[in-house]
Order: sequence, then C-alpha cells, then structure tokens
Amino acid sequence: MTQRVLIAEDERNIVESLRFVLSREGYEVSHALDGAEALALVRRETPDALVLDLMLPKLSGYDVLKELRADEMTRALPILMLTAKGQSHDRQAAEDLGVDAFMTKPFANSDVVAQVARLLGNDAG
Amino acid sequence: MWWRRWRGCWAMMRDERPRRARDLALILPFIGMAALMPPLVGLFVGSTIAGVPLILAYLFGLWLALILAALMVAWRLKGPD
Amino acid sequence: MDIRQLALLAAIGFAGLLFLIAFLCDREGRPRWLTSPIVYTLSISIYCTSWTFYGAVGSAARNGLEYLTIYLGPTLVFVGFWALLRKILRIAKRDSITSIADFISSRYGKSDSVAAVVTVLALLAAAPYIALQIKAIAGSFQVLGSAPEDLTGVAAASPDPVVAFWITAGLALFTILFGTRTIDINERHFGVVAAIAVEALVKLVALVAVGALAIWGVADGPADLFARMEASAVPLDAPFGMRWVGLILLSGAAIICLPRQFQVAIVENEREGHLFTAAWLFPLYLLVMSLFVLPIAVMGLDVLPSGSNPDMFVLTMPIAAGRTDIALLAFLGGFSSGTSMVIVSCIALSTMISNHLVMPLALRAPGMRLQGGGDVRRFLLLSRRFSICFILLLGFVYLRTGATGEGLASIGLIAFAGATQVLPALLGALYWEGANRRGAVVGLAAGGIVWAYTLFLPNILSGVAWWDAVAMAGPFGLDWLRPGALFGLETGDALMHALFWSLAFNALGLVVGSLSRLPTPIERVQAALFVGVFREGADEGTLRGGDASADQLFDLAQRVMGADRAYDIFRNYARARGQVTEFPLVDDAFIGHLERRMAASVGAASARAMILSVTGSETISLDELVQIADETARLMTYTTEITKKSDEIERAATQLKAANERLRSLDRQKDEFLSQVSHELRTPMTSIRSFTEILSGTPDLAPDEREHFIEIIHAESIRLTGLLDEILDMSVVESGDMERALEPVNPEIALGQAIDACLGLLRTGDVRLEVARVEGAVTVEGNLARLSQVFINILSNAIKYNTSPAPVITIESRVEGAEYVVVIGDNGAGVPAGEAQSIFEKFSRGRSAGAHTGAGLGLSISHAIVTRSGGTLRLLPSAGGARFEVRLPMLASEAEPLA
Repeated sequence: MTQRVLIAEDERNIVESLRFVLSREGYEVSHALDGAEALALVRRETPDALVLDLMLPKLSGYDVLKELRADEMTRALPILMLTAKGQSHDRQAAEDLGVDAFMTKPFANSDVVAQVARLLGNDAG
Repeated sequence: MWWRRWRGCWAMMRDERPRRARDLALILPFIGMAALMPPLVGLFVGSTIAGVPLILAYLFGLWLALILAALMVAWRLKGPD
Repeated sequence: MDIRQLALLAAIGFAGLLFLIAFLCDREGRPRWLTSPIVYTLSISIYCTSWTFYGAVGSAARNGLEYLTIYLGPTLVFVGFWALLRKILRIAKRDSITSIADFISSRYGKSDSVAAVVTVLALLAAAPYIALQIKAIAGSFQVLGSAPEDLTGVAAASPDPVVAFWITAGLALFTILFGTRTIDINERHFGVVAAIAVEALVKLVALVAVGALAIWGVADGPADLFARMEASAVPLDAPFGMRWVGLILLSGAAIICLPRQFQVAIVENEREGHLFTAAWLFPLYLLVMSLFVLPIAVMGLDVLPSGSNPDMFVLTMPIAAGRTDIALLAFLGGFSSGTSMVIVSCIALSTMISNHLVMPLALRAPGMRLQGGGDVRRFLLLSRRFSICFILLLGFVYLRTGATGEGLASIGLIAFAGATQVLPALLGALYWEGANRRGAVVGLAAGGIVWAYTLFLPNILSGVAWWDAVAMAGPFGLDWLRPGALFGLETGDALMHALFWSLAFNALGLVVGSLSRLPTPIERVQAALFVGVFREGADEGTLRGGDASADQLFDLAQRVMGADRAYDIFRNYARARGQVTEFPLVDDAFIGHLERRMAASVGAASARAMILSVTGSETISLDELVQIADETARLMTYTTEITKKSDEIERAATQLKAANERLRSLDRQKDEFLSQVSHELRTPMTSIRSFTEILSGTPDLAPDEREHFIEIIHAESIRLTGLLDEILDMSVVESGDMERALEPVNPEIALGQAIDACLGLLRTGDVRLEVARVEGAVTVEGNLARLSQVFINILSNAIKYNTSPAPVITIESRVEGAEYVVVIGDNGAGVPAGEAQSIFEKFSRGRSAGAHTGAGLGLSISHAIVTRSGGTLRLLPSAGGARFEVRLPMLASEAEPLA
C-alpha cells in the first residue's frame, strides 16, 4: 500500500521540491501551507508521516507538534521537523516535544528521503 | 526435528546463491575463452556427428551454453540488487 | 518499375519511417517500451553492421569459421558483464560520462590532451569503417540493378563513385537530421535509440529470411545443406591458431572500445539492470545472426556462378533464386545495418570532436568570445553538424584512396585494431590505480602511431610509389623498420603483426609513462573513484583501523560539515550509546556512521577517501586533501561549463556562484548580524540546493519539468541576491556612506514611482487604494531613488501584511508648515502595542507577520534613509491597522508651488 506523507511548509518552492523528491520514492504526498491547515489535514487524512516546518503562519510548527502529541489519535505519528534556524536550543525544544527527526535547511534531498524512510520503517529493505 | 535442520541447511545454501552466482559471473568469460583456445578447439575438427560437422556443433553448443549460463547468472544476481 | 527504383523508394520510405519513429519518441518524452531492456539490447546490435550483414558471408566463403571470432569475442565480454561492463557503466552513470574519450580523460585527471588523443585515434579508425558501410550500400544498390546473368562482375571492386557520393551525402543529411536536432545534457538520444532498435530487428529478420531461403529454398533442408557443406569450398577446418585467438580478443576489445558501442551500451543506457538482460540476449542475437551466415555462404558458393563476389551473396542468392521480395528485404536489412552504424558512429564521434577538440580550442582562442549559454549551444550544434560532414567525407575519401578492393571484413578489422588502441588505457583506468595521465598519453600515442604505420597507412598508400619503396626496403633503407615486418618480425599476417606491435608499445608506454612520475592528487582521487567504484559499503564489516582519535576525526568532520553539525553528530552518537564523554568511543561502527554522514555532504567515495586518510589505511596527507578539494571545485566549474551546456543551467549556476561569492565574503565577518540573517538566507538556499540536486540527480527529467525547476532556481537566486543587497544596503546606509549625495528633489515623484511599483502587488491581492496627493511640486533635500525605496517598503508592507478580508490602503501626502508629510495606512491587523517600539530595529519583522518574505530589514533601512534626509519616520498611534508617517523638511526657498 502506498504510504502517505503530509508536508507542512509555507514556502511553495520547498513544498514543490519535497513533493517531487518524495513522490519519486513512491509516497503519496499532500501539503499544507500553514499550521492550522496542517492540523486539519492530519486529522482528516491521517497521513503516515508528517514533514513539519518550524516557522509556519497561523500556528507555528511547535504548536502543531504540541497539539498532535497531546491527541491520543496522533500521538504516534512520525514527524520530521525542518527548520531554517538550526540553533541547538531549537533542536532541543523540538526533541523535548517529541519530534522523531530534526533537519536543518538547506538539506540534502537524499537526507530527507532517508529520514522519511527511517521514520516509516522502510530503511531496512 | 530432522526437517527443521534440513530447512536450515537449505536456507544457508540459498543465502550463498548470490555469492556463487557472482563467482560464476567472474569466471564465465575465462571458461569460454579456454574452451575456444587452439589446442582444445582443434580437437573437434574433421569428424561429424549425425551428419553435422562436429566443430560446428561444438562451437554453437558452447555458445548456447555460455548464453544459458549468463541468463542464469543474470537472473540470480538481479534479485537481491 | 524496375527493382532498383523500387529499392530506392523502399530505402527512402524506410528512412522516413525511422525518422518518424525517432521524432515521435523524442517528442512523447520517452514512451514506456523505449525503456525496456530489449530495446537496449537491440540498440547494442549496431555492432552488426554491413560488415556482418554482407561481409560475414564473404568471410565465411573465403576463410570458413573465422567469421565466428568477430561474434565470439563480444559474447565473452557480455557473458562476463559482471566484471567489466558493469564497472564501466556504474562509473559512467555516476560521473555523467558522455563518450569513451570523456571516460578515459576523466579517469586521467580530466585531461584535455588524453581526450584529444583518443578522439583523433577514434576518428582515424572510423574512416575505414564508414568507408566499408558506404561501399556495402553502394555495392548492394548496384547489384540490385543487374540482371542475374551479369552478377559475377558487379561490385567486386570499387563501387561507382557517383553512387557512392550520393549515398555519402544522403547519410550525412540523414545523420544531421537524426542526431543533432537538440543537445541533451547527458548526450542521450532516445529517438535514435528507438530507430536503431527497429533497424536491428529488420536486419535480423532479413538475414534469417535469406538464410532460410538458402536452407529450405535453395538446398533441400538441413540434411542436404550439411551434405553440400562437406563437398563445398568452405574451409571448415580453418586453422585454429594465433589468428583465431587474436581475432576473438580483438573483437572482444572492439565491443567496448568502439565509440559507437560505448555510446549505445554505456552512454544511452537507461538502467544498470538492462545490462543483466543484454548479457545473454545480445550474445543470443549474435548467435542467430552467425547461424544463418554459413548456409548462405555454402549455398552461394554452390549455386552461384564462380567468380561472384561472396560479399554480395546475401543479395545475389535471392535474385538468382527468383525471389525479388526477399532480395528487397535483404537490401533493406543491409541498408539498416549500414545506416544505423553510420548514424551512431557519427553521433558519438561528433560529440567527441566538439567536446574534446573544438570546445577546448574555442575556449582558449583569444578572439573567440562565447557570450552566454545560447551561443554555446548554437556553436556546439554547428560544430557537431560540421563534424558529421567531416567524418563522412573522411570515409568517402578513404573509400576512394584506400585499398578497398579487399573484402569487407578485412577493412573492418583495420578499424577494430585502431579502436582497440584505447584498451590498455581503459583497462588501466579500471583496474590499475597507478596508471596516470602521462602513461595514458604515451601509451595511446605509441599504439596509435604503430597502428597507423603498420596497418592504416599501408592500406591507404599501397600503390603510391614512395610508400611502396618504404614498404619494400624500410624507411631510409632501415630494413628493421619495414611496416610489414617491424624489428624483423615476419608473420605473413599484417593484422596480427600490427596488433601485436601496436598493443605491445601501447601497454609498455602506459606502464613506463605511469611509473615515470607520481600521480597528481586529482589523478589519485579519480583513480580511487574509478578502480574502487564498487568499494563503497561493499566491505562494511571490515576493520577500518583504530588508529584515529576522536579529535582527529572531529577535525576532519568539522572541515566537511561545519563545527556545529559535526559536534551534534559526535555528541548524539555518544549519548545514544549511553557514553558519558563528549566524544564517542572510536570504533568501526562509529567510523562507519561518520563516513555515511559525511557522504551526504561530499559523496560516498570522497568521504571514504577522507576517512581513510585519518584512519591511516591510506596515505593521503591533509595538504593533499585540501588541494583535492580545490581541484574538485575547479573541475566542477569546468564540467559545468563544458558539459552542462544548457544555457538556463549556466545562467542559474552563474547567479548561484555570484550569490555564493557574496555569501562567502559576508561569512568571513561572522558577526551577530549574520547569524540572524542566516534564517532568511536558508529558505531560498533550501530551494536552490534541493532543485539543483534534483536537476543533477535526475537524468530523466521531462524538459518542461526541468525548465520549471530551473526557473525556480532562478527566482530563488534572485531572491537570495535581493536579500544580500538588502543587507549591503543596510550597512551602506548605516555607515553614512551612500553612493549618491543629497540634492534637492521632489518627493512626490518618488511617491508616484513607489505607487506605480506596487501596482503589481495590488492587482494580486484585490486591494483598494485611496490616494490623496499634495497639489503642485515640493522640494526636499534627499535622493530620489532612496526616497522611493522608503515609500515602496512601507507600501509593500501595508499590502503584504494586510489580513483584512477587504483590504484598503490609504496614501495621503500634504504640506504642513515647512514640512512635507506622507501618511500611509492600512486596515489590517496593525502592529501589536508591544512591538511598536522595536519595529524599526534590524530584523524585527514582527511575530504577527508570520513567514512572509523579506528579511525585515526594510523598515530599518527606511528609517535610516529618512533620518539622513533630516526627517522622521514613525508609526502613528491608530485604532485599527498600521499608519506610518514620513516627515521631511522642505527647502525653504522653494516651499511655494512653482509657477
């Protein structure tokens, strides 16, 4: 069965590149342009993994993360967090909130693919 | 249980298959070359088998054998990659 | 209509069909069937040229089973694909190799000279081979027109020069139309591959049809055939001696070294997996072709009048048997084999000529200036078209001067021997790390010269008086230098003699040349990358040596990835394993982990080389590593210039480079400012990096997709540059070092410019604009461009951050006493009370602004500009929305409107 990945990112170009790279890996990709939409989509579409930008309009990546982790339904959703800040305290905060993987922009496409694969347990085979 | 041991043995053989296929892939051209070398190939000149010149049967037979071996090797090695 | 006219029509129709196939395949963006391994295998079958189609029968009739060697050699190479072809393919795909010259030169340090030598050699070797195709097509055409009883004399010697000329011209046109319509970044031609796959089928079907006719139509089934074979003049007991072995080796080498074979098997290859099919299917194709050659030779000798040219049995036998239909099919088969060889050879050679001879010269020529990518592209296309004409002309000239009275097969073998001179350099490239550029050049040159002297020149010049004197007595009377018996080696077999000496000198040159100096760092790296292409990850379990300390490894890692990231990797690894120290215990698992992380930045092979340099298993010093990094950077620039000719990419790359340069110079300052701006820079950089990786890592992108991605890179580069401009502006304005002096200006003009500039933004957001402007002219002291920058900034903020469902922007300008006042307001969310104080500080874009573009430097810059003009910029207290006020002192004498 095709695994579905939701991208929550407000930069359309980054969305497009991620969509291209992940689609090529065989994932079904959808996206949200702000935090509120991301939250709504996660609840409606129940994706298998979430690629979450930290700086989102309306609802920040932290807030989305907090909401998701507080909800019984989405507590276990694998989340890869992207940030353009990359300072270590950001990373720490995200890890404390229970993010599964953390990457700093700009990233290598292969790293994103590898991380998503790891989150979805596809890396072994 | 005897069958369990037998199955383990078989699994081990199966795990070894890609390695053996790789070895075969490496030596295949050398086997072919050796079989085409003068002293050996010269042995088949002159006689016939069932009306067909033996040298023809030998060369084309060898050729076909190499192709089949390559087919097998390719089939084996393609799987795990 | 006589058969010759019919054949001409059929040939033209067939060519049209092929062109249609190629055109459709290129346009449709590669239909599915085109990527099948069967098409790949069929395209490799261009190995079977007219030489096979017509010449193999001639060869069988003259020399018995010797013709089999030409197909047994490639068979051995393909069934042994695992060791050699797969390695070449893996490297070629990794490095986006465009030709065999490119492959060899990139192994020997991306050397121009190596590439040029290979190209010249390939060009010389191609001439006889192409002459052979022209001769075969011309000959077949002449045979078709002859009555069965006249068949003996026709086409035994040189073909009619007029027919040959028109065939050459037709081939040139055909090839130019086929091969140079576009320039693909990876030098791949999907349409051509589809067309030659069809041609491969046609020639197979045609030869099998003629063979079947020989067995069941002319002879009385297989039993009768073998009976006649016993009695026939076909020598089945041909000596299986040195020549037999030599020819197998020669043809085995040719299947890799011929530029056109490299083109179809390596450059045009879609997927490594296709090789796994070709490994057995291509030998099978050769077997079927060879199987039907012998019956045609036997029956041709048996039933056709003695003195008939055996090279034309494939055509003359059906004619003699009264089967015009099969004769026509055979003609098309021969036409297919000839044209497909010529097309692919010319494409491969013209690529080599334009990339390795013309371009390097053009780039160096002082008078030559190629501006931008479009020029380069046009120039390349033109040089390729000229190259194709030149190559075919060379073939035609060879046909007219060379000793082409010989059989087709012997001409082909001269070409094989020439192409094979590349073999030592190729094998050295793949299996001997010590081989270097000097060795390659010396070996190639020595082998090439000996080949030309002992085989190529004798073939062209025989009959010319002075040459015959040299051939008889040796140059300057030196008997031991006679081209036919070098150093007194009399073999009676010119081919084996030439092959022996040329390869001996070639290999010797490679070894001695390579050992005569140490490899440069770049050669060493390329050697490791080529020879050890399968090494990465293959020996995961082996010991990497525990000599390295964590400090050393950290030092290396932070050079590659930056200190922060390296530190993270080290600390997280240690923490994940419950180690309390800052740096983890250095063991194989950690080194493997680190290598993989580094590989993401610098590529697997380089990462490994670097790790090895620290762990002590390899001896590359740190100095050398730095040198390597520099050279690699230079190489990458070079590669971008030469091979990625697409002008869009070039443009994007230049912009990226410029942006990078500025980024680097700023990076050196390393102040607080930059660490804050980093976030803003990373966003466009992310897109640029990601799409660049997609472009370079996805060879099969559709053209429109590629263009779209390049546009994004372009736009993001501009955004990045704009950002950097903003930052520079900031520092320029702040240090008071403005380029332009203050002068009396009318600020209304600046305001008007700003409104015009923002109209574009307005249209997209459906914003209503309410403007109330001052009457007449006012004059303040300032700078027009700077002032309009201030207004644009405030206006665009008002538009961009307006979250109201019905956005309204008000612009009001008036004169208040001695001051000119502009108030720009909106009905958006306004600025939160807490932020009103800090809004003019650097990078305080306001949290409520969310993730809109721009670094948030604009207001700060505006503030500085207005202050410099002696005015004020402030945020007015307001009930809803933000209201900015600009106040500028007017010049006293001109406060009144001008008459």
